[in-house]
Amino acid sequence: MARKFFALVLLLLGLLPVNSYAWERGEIFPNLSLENGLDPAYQFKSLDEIESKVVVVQIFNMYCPHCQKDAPVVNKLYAKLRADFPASKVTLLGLGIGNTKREVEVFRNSFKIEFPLFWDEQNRFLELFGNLGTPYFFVLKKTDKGFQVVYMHAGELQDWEKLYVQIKNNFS
Amino acid sequence: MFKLKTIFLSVVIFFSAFSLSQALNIYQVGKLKPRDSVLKVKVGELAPDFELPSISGKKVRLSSFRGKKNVLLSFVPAAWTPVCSDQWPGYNLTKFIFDQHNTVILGISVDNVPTLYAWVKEMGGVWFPVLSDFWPHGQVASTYGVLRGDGVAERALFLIDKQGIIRWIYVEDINRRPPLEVIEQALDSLP
Repeated sequence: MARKFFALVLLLLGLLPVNSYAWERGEIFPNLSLENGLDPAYQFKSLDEIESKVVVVQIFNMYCPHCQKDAPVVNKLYAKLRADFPASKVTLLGLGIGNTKREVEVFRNSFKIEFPLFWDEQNRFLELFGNLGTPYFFVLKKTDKGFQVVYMHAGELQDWEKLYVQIKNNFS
Repeated sequence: MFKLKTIFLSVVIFFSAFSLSQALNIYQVGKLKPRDSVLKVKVGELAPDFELPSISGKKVRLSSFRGKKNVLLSFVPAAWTPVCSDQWPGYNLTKFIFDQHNTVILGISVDNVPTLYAWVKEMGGVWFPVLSDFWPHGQVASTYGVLRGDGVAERALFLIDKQGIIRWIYVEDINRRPPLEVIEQALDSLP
């Protein structure tokens, strides 16, 4: 019976879509290349170069209507973070998956976004996060091994305060 | 034994529900043949005229823009598919670029009007007319040479000037979205 049970579980697992990689809390986030930033003041070779204790990553796509609708809400979150904490504590950045430089530029200008945005020259972000749907948010905490995923949020933020609390919880 | 049966049933229900929701929400088209048609029009030629029903309920004729506006025909393969759903909403943010070049977009797919209506509404609407090339099936796409063997259109752009002349043609790999830069460049080169 037990053998049949495990065989069936394996069979069902095999039916799952190949790209359904699920991010989990606790895992170490990939050390992304962040050289394609719109703002020259925020050029990083890679994610691990960022010195903040916490990094919030927004996965967006200029073409996605939900990201467009959510942009003013994310701006409010950023304004609150900037007002309450120094950059050494928290950095918010946006990755335009599958987006060219001009596309990310249009997104930034349309919503007057002040936090650093990065475009996806080689579709590397798309390869990593393409199965998630946009927008998507990761809260990462700096550890000895790199940035660790401590919280995730799928879809529009709607209530930015909920994410703010999650970010704040990770400063201690 | 009872415990094992309960676990077994829970696992089956979980995976059935998972597969069902996946199937209901997104149809996985997989990687498609990048291009599956041969163009029947060329740059410099008069764009073949057509009249198609739009989701506003009115019919739209290409030649009605002649002498007034440049036209960008934006063919997309199908409603409710991942890449297509992430193309036209971007043109809402870039409307100012089209306005600067006195250009209107005509969005076209081979879906019928009710399908297109629901899809565009779900995307939050677009500022340009969306036309249905459903019947005779894909006739306009076929006239321009962008109807694929499986009955959907290519992801193709045709820029037509105010005189009705085709000034630029761009057929993108169906799996990808045309970069904004190439569209801007084409608009910039309009006479």
